[in-house]
Amino acid sequence: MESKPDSVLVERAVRGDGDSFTELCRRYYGPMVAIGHAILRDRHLAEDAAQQAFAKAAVNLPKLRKADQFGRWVAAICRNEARDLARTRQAPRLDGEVAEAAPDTGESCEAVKRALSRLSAETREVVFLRFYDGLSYDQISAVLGISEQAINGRLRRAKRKLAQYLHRDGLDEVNI
Amino acid sequence: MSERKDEQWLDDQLRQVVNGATPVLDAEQWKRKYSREYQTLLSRSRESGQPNTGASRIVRWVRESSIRRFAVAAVVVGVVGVLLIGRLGPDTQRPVTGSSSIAQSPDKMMTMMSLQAAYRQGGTEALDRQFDQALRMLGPRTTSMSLKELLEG
Repeated sequence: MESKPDSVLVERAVRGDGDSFTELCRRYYGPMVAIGHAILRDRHLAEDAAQQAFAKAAVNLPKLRKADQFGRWVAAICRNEARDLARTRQAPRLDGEVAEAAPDTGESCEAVKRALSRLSAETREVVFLRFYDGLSYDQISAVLGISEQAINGRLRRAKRKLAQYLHRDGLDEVNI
Repeated sequence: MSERKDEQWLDDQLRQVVNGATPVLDAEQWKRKYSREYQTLLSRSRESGQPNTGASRIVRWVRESSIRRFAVAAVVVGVVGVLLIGRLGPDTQRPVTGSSSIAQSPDKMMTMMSLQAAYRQGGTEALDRQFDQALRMLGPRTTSMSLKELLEG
């Protein structure tokens, strides 16, 4: 089951195969939670958004035209769900929350949280996808629908911006 | 501090801040929470279990792509157009029976209804034939005819 390409699982799921759909959900749960987290800034809400996205995907799966683009498609649903949740539940600010489970490692960590919160949603999403669960470029590519080179470019730009923000925040040793 | 070290430091910081403990989906819980949606997905296995006729396969194939949908719509419009033109234009398929079957006398031959019927049956050729026949039946007429004579005739 693990090695089956998305397109095969999607085609089976469209015909009502629950196991194939569950496998797709397991495969994309991490990236979806990362995308939700980048928008909502809350781990639990991010998991809610990801699960709601899968629920919508289950209903609307026959509308997916390109079976090999399931990741990209469900990511778009997840973004919408996360934005809706952010509007209705007024998610907490990133700098107050980002790492619920992370120990407070001091001033630099707080500065990085503040810098992250200043990135655009799109840029922050790439950073979250890369560092949330150590996703490979291949996995990120399946979700964002862009090439690995483009992902690398976005990440580099994100890091340069973060370095600028950190520098303005007093951490002048960051040099990217 | 070298560039490499700086980037490594930032990566470490981001890993700490973003800190994604691997999220694991509890599939059974998800199925219970979204049972209606999951049942909708499962119900398709019953639908797809039904015999897949050629027509339904073609419909699905057409619906998969917008280009195919447009192509089918264009074909339908074209066929309808051809059929309409065929019905509104002169009926060349029907045998031309001649104008005598439409009208028996020259004055009746020249009525709009009779001319229209002739055109439908044989187009402009039938119309010409009807004019000729009407003229033949009327015969030669003097050019110096009074209105009274014309009306009497």
